[in-house]
Amino acid sequence: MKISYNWLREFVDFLQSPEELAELLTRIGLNVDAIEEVGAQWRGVVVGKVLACESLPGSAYLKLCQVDAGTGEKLPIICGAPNIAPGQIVPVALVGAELPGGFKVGERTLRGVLSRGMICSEKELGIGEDAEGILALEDPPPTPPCNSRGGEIPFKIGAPLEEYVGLKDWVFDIEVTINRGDCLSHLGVAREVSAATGPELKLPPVDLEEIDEQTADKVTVEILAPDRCPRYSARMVKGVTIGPSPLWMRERLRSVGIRPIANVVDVTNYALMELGHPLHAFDYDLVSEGKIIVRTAGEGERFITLDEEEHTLTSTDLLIADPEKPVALAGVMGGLNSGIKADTSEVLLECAYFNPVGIRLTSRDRAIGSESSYRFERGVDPEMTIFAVNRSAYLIRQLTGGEVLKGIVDNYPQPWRPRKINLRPGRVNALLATDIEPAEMTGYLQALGCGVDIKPSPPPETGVGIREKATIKVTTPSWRHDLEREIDLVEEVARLHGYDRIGVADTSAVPLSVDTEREQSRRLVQRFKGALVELGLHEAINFSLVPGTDSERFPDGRQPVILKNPLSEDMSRLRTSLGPSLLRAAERSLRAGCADIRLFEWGKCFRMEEGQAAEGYKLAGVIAGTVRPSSWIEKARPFNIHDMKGMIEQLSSKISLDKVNYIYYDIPEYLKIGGCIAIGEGDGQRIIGRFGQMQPAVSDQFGLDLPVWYFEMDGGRLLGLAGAVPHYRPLPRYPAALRDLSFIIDEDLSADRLEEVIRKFGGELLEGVELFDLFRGKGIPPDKKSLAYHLTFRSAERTLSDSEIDQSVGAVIEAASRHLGAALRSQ
Amino acid sequence: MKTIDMRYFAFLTDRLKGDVKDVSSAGDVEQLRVKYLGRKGLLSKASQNFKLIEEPDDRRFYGRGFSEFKKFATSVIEELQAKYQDEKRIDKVDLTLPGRRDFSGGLHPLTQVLEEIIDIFRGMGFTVETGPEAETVYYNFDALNTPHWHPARDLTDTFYLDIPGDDKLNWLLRTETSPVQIRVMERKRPPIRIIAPGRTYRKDKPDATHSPVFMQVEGLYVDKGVTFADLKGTVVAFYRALFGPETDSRFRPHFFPFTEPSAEVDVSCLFCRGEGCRVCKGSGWLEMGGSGMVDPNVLEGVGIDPEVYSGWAFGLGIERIAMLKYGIEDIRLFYENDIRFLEQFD
Repeated sequence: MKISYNWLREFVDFLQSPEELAELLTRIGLNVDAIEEVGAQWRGVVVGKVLACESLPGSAYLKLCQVDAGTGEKLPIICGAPNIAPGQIVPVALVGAELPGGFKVGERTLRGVLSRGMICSEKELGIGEDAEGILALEDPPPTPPCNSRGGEIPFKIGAPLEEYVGLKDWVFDIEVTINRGDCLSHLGVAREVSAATGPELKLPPVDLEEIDEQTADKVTVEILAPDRCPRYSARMVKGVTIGPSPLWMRERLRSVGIRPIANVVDVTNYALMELGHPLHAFDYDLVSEGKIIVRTAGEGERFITLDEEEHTLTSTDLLIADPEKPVALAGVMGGLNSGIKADTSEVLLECAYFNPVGIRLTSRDRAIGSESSYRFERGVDPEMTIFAVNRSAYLIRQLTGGEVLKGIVDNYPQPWRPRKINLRPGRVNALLATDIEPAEMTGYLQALGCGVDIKPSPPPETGVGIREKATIKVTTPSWRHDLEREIDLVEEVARLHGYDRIGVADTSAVPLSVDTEREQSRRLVQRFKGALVELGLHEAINFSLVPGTDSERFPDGRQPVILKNPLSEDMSRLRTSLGPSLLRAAERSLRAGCADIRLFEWGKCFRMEEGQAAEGYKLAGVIAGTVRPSSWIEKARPFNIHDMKGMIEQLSSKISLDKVNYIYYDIPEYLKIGGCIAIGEGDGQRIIGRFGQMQPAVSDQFGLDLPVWYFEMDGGRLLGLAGAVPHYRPLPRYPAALRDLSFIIDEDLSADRLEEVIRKFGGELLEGVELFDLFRGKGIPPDKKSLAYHLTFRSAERTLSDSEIDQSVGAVIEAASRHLGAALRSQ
Repeated sequence: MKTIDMRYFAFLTDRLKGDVKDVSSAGDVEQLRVKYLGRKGLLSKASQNFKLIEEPDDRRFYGRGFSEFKKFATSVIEELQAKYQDEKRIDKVDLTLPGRRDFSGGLHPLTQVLEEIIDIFRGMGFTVETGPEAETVYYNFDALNTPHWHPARDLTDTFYLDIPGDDKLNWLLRTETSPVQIRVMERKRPPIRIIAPGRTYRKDKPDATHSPVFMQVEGLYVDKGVTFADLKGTVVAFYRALFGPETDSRFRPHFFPFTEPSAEVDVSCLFCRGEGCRVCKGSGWLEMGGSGMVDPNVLEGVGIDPEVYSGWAFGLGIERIAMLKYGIEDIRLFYENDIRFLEQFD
């Protein structure tokens, strides 16, 4: 909401400078986002007087003027405007001035004659559309009829233009919270300033000088939907002449963000900005029989609003109609068929109170909003209609020469009643940790327009609660729909007392926090992340909203949760997997020139499960590029599937996953090769994740034309299984014996089978088995491979003898041969 | 006639073997070379004895000894030279060459900021709680005292889920982490001292300062006799811990459905310390987030008697803090995960 500093001063005499006022407003809850200085766009434009004016020799229309611009000399200025005349008071842009739009005024020579400045039109000053002639100012300057300081505006030749037209001003951009519809006007903000600073609120003049003719003889109002329209007040002004508003009004409207149109409409907007109550002006001749009917729309009824949009209505929309047709979408916008025209002479002014909920529904469902609906939605003052309609009639009479008919047609089927709320001062002080006297509280509430009555309390009650010395019985004002409960009043007291005057409690002695299961999970997640960071991965955080195409491009078989009202197709559903977003991030980084991609994410994924949205954490990573960074020392080799598996093995051990094993069937569609990570054995076995190389067909779809490695784990299962506490094993006291064995086995036989046999038949003295070589080629038959192992033997009780070890080694060799057909490779 | 000891070369061989043991640098090797193979060295001297031997057999014998020893000494010294040449090369290592590095990963800047915030609250006796992101209208709005007409409920502001059979639009993506507060208060009785960090969603088109997916932390404290001064005390202490001990906090009245009295919290600008600069738009203050005393309706809704208990809540945006802390001007960078961006926070 834009609020003018000068305008505000018409309602309350405050002493604060614009900066001080902004500070004050912010402190009481009307946050000032910005202060804009009005008039600043006219630096170098002053008020001048045309002393003489003669045709420029050799030109049909240019004139050479002598102008007094208060500079102490006569300025020769060449001007082409047809309406220039000696004696006029005019805006003069001096040499060096800069006009809105960036035009710089300099000295010019035309037909050999020097021109030192420029006499400006409305358009050149950016205050109107008239570019035809210069802006002839009135002498003495007009003052806004509303101005309580009328006639005080200083005026002399050479004065800055904004001072002459009373435009030196500051406009505050105020953030009005949704509960404070009453502050969407100068009157409303002034009321707050008055309550916070002391000086009384003043209302603007409304001396109507009505004629004898009665409004009631020309206008009738019938309300068929009193719940939706508790009040409708109407007045007539006749004999108006439609035309532009005077400069002061146009500039004032413009300064608060309203485009001036023509006097009658400008007045209703002016009153809206002033009082916060929307008004509508009808051309009386276009309202059939002068009869206003407030009714709900028929289903499918059509109506064209002022902005030339056609709407198809339903029974939730409220209409202002005459006996033949609708004339306005109540509280939102007037109709194209009944608005003020250039030749309107009789004006029917409407000022009503509409139910906020209904207006909100219409505004939302018809996708139409206006300054009017914005205020009705937040609740206007039902007791304000009479004053607002009178104020508008008064201004229309001032501006258009119209005559105001006697009386108002005021239909008020559901009169407003004040709320009564009890406020316990002890309760206020207990919540705020303050020591505010009840009398001080009543002072604040009265300043806000509440009625108050202090009642001494009955003898103290037993039981819990605060013993109250007194209760303040509060009645709320008609403009404060937000005051409904005691707590609302507590806030009002706190606000006016000042949040900064409430103490800051000492927090140095705080309770202990209890370590919950959630806390332990959080620490475990920190461990997962820490382990991956150690392995050289960067954590990514992606949007959980993803495009619909993800489930086709990255088939994970999960049923996605879809949004009802997405922002765009790109964010139309919740992710079922972390993969696609990680692949997109990888592509983005590769495109930006990164050669190596190592990204992981820990985040929630979603899926439909039994007709419900289910969610759970997942951990996933994407790797592409080399196994370590290339450098001047060595060229790095490409990352491969064994690096991927090594990474999973290291991760598992870093996060203390016990009994990890791998399954190489049942891998998802999107992996070309890879495996499942399983925990436990037999029936207790749980798959917790997958890893491998992406199908090129899948990674291609994400714009990645290089091998991509991927892993994904289920967060819930990880949290349940990881983080085992390591159990200490005593350090060995006797030396180990090392034997190397090299087997030749069938190519098709997997290494784990051989290792399994070695472990099984190595006996209890076999401590460790480590593969150290894999060889195919010279000396090894085709379809065979050679696998070489370090075998470590150790006893906890003694140093082993050669014969004991030979026995175990012999058993291993024999079993490998018998079970797997493995031959020992000759040395 | 001079007696020539025909075993002289065997003696020299032993001596050389002994000398080799004392060699410990390239300089020692050079000394050894001069001593045995130099122009005035032992071998040169031995060659002068040749002409003194008269017996041809003796001369032949002596000659063989001479050449064998020369060969041996040369090879020993060359070997030593080769060994100690490495030492010379090491003396010439160019340490200005870049070191050899491995990949280093890093946590996302939002995680780092969030962890820091959690640490501060843990130290102030708060426990972390979490809750679902796909929420119901009840937890996200109704239980938080949001009026039925509040625009936050509109399809233009909040994402709703398309759940078959849910014609009333009962499911949505939470717009704040406050539903967690309700879930905790339903489950536990006061004293309650929690923070709820997590992802939240609002239907804002992405731009430099808006993101439809973002992160929040909210704090809640409910107990007997909790006051507005406690709220101020905790918030002031928190921002001092986060931004430094010279940080001021300002509380100005505001409106939030689930708190009353409500306050917007500003902190003194981190960049100009309140003088007014570009970041704080000249005001000297930076807006941080909402706070206030838990509305009695919210407490009543979860069966906590507001006449007995009171509480406060406050919230803040993680991205906002991270943007201020790291000087990031576009919120979208956090969710693009460009590695060049992520690397800056390792």
